[in-house]
Amino acid sequence: MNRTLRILWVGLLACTLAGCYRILPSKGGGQLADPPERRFTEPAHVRLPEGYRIEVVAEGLTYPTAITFDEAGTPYVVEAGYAYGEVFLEPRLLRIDPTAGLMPVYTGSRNGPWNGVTFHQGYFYVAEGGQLEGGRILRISQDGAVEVLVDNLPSRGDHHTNGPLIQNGYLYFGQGTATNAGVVGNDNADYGWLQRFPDFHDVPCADITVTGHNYTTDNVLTADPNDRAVTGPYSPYNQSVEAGQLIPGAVPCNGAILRVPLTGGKPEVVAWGVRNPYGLAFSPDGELYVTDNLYDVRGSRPIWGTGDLLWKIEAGQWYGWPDFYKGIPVERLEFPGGQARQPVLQNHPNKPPPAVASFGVHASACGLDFARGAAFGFPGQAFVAQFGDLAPAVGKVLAPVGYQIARVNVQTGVVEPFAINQGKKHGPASYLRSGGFERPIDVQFDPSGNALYVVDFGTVTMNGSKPVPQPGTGVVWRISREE
Amino acid sequence: MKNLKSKVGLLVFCLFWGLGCGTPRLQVPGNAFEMPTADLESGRILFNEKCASCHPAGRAGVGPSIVNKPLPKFLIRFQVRHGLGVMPAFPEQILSDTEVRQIADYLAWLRRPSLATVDQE
Ligand code: HEC
Repeated sequence: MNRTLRILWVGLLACTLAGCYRILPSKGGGQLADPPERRFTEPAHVRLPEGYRIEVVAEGLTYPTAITFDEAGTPYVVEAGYAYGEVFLEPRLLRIDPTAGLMPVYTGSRNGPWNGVTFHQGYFYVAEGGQLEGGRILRISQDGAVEVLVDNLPSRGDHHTNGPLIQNGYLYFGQGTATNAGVVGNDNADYGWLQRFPDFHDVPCADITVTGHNYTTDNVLTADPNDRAVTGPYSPYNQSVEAGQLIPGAVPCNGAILRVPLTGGKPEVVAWGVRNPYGLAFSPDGELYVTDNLYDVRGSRPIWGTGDLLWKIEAGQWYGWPDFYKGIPVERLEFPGGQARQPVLQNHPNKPPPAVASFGVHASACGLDFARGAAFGFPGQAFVAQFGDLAPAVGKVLAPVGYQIARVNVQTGVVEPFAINQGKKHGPASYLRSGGFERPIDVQFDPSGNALYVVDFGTVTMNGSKPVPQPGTGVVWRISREE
Repeated sequence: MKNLKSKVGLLVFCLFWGLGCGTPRLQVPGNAFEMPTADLESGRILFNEKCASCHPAGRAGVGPSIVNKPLPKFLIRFQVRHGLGVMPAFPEQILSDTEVRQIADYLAWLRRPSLATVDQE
């Protein structure tokens, strides 16, 4: 190609790109003007690699979030009991009986979302999200008796208590942050919790000193429309900080991987500086991996263009929230049409470790598991359920992102779609008017390692910036190799 | 690129990226396909590390799709270095010339016709 033509090309590209991006509307997978009234399932509408098949195991669930298996290999699923959009129901643990269908084992109180479950030596361990009363880890016996193993976790904000996972006598869990990027703002009133808990905020795991940046907004907690709120990081709404101010650390804390002995006791910090550590899994070689949902473009400290991450957890490390994305300081990140963000911490505990893999911005990388052995294929690789974007509330996307099961080579960081809806377009079933996935939220191999179960939360559409979850649309899928 | 007509065609394609005139192409999911060359494998790894979060699997996400139109490689290289519009630029300290070339080659490979044929309605 000759020089003139090249210049013409670049000129044209510049013309198309300059200013174009900002005027394009958001096209998230939940942004449907007329969502279908009912969900239907059709396994043929999910595209898989050759040699694999998918079937429906259970349907009609309300906001299911996680799955586990007892000694006999029988699957159990939990329904969250809470969904974004401020829907409060009773969370449930249900057995998926091969003949009788869904059989309730235990019904919890309105303190969801139950975000995770794991079975260990006769007991179910549940991560109770704690939107109303704080997060908990529950131990539930097979006949439905419950004990609280951990209580009062800081889960009344945007993100909750996740996991759990058991290894060598310890129970590991993830504790999400209260806010998007460290500062309580008016986005938290949209979520609904700021009015309930006006003093709630993020708590660091260790002492930190802050740079003194504060954020001014309208004060949504007072009637006077001229009232302003000035809020600092790791502080209650409308409480400012000064440069060099020390904010004491405490445990339990936000944005952390924590663990407690299975016999009970105080939580201890495994690692921190993550944002919403949702899916936890040990790899076949015994390393702890975590999916982390990164920043949204919302609130007082919106951060653009940060994909969800997969971390390999090194004990004692700080992973960068709220001042870094994947090792890059926030002040060096691009921000369309706005000012760069300033760091809020004066000193950073350590240089954030590198990520193992990145996922789409707003893909919402959730449940995680590893293929073990050769039965299923891809031994040692990770499978990640992607719930899909909640645009425009989290930021703008030009097309739906997520809504699939990704496969990750943890050695190279290469992410490939493993199970994804059929069609030229990409998106959830309601968007494509198909019978495929809506919002995959968990993946777990059964104890034999032959089948990968997928928990699909169901349909969530967006009414402006408010999520509208549809009860009764949750599904459990099962992927296995063709005989 | 043999004649002027096809060049003009490409220009028009490029101009219309935002209008969604191209057909997004999806990869065959889950294939454990080995990349045919070490350069392409390197391109795939770098693409996943630096680009896929905004162009997941090359498709649209926060950024536009870059596999639904025949973007010439030099243009991809130009965009990576200069970051026209709101996309961040990737200077040499972050991606070497060789690495940028490997990414552009990988993107061209993703658009190869045999992959396009897996599209289904
Ligand atoms: C933080 C998000 C982000 C990252 C990371 C990113 N891009 Fe982009 N890219 C965008 C956006 C947004 C646009 C559209 C720019 C505009 O119109 O302002 C774009 C545009 C492009 C275009 C022009 C598309 C067209 O239709 O003309 C190409 C080519 C491209 N990106 C390639 C890449 C490559 C290769 C990488 C990795 C080295 C990369 N991008 C990383 C967000 C990103």
